[in-house]
Amino acid sequence: MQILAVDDDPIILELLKQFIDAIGNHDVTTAESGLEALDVIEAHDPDHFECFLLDIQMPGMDGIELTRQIRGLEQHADTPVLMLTAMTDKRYIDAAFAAGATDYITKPFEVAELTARITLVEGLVQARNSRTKKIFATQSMPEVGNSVAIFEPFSIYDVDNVIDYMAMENYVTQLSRNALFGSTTFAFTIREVQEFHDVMTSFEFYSMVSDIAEVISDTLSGKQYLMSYAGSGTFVCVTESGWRPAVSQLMDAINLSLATTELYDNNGARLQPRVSVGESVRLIWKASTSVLEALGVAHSSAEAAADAHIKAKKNLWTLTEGQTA
Amino acid sequence: MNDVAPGLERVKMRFLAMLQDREQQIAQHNLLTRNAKSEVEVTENLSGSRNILHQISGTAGSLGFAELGSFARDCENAIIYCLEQPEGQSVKERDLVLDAIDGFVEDCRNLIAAHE
Repeated sequence: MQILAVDDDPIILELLKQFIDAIGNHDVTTAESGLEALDVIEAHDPDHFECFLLDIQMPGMDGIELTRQIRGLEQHADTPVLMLTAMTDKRYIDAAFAAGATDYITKPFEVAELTARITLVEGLVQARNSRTKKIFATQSMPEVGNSVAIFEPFSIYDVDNVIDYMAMENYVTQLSRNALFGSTTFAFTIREVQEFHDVMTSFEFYSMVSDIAEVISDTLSGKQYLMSYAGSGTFVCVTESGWRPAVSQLMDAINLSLATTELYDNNGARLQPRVSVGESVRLIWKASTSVLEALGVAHSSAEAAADAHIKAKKNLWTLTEGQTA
Repeated sequence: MNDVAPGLERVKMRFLAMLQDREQQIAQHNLLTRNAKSEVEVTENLSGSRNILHQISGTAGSLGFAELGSFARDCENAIIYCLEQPEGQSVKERDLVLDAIDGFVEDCRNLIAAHE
């Protein structure tokens, strides 16, 4: 991979070079400030850099603002950004993830830790690139069916507080690692998502999911949270600062907003998706594996709520038909 | 994986060379904080020390100086605490932090001497 490392401390840059050279198969370019980094990116081919390692705390433009600027570049919307931080202050870490960071590495770091993270990122990026290509390949070919499996998570761009699912997993793992408490996870599932998926192209499905993400994001505006699309029509949210939502009211507000939002498929037919919400699960005092399990519980309960809603609707139809017969 | 040791040794030497300059800067900031005539001067000098300590704490551990890195982190956190207090905080409390930073400077000098 071609890696751009940015840190105002020359010792960190030298360390990164030595450690990454030791891993092999990667080239490191360095910059000592955010502004220099942007110049370096501009001086290379648009898709030259495949991974960024950014210090959070730098004089002038800090790593959070630099991440925001990098994410604003079309070719780097998906490029992994690993933050380097000595900070344990959750505010900086939350801001870094909200700005688009993929993960973070705590300083001082060891070669084994850096190797593990970079190897992981490399593998996941290859898998994600393949998915993204499948989605956008059908943008100009609506006759092609849905080539992205329903269970696959994908990246949603330019929606406030929506981050990549891989970044979400890293975020909650780090939360527990640093014993940061007070967060809650819950999830929304698009009702009858399988039916939507079956009749839509990958791009139509992607567009609908992105639009729903935007509606949810607008509804949650002003709250402290991060959200990601976890696949199977489910959005997983993690709240911050002790906010625990009244999920049922939240679902009603989202569905009301969806009802007034005009969504259409490629043939101009009106789409009327609705979501169900599952139980909210507190992340307090959980080990990292348990935190990931908590996300899974939130995900499953939202899917179960969506299924229960459909079943209840069908039962109601059966009852109504029985009465009219 | 390639052998990281020779390259790491070079980085370690550079770290120690820079540490000499950094500890002098911290000592200077500490002195100016003790003699400060205004809170602005105190904040400026404590912030200066904090930034240098932040850099040391971020790298020392990776280069085999874990104890120094940990001491730098403790001093950095103590300064952050001081800076977050309202004006007119206990001078005695601040002096304790400055004493700790003096101790850190001394540890830096000992480490440099041990590697000469």
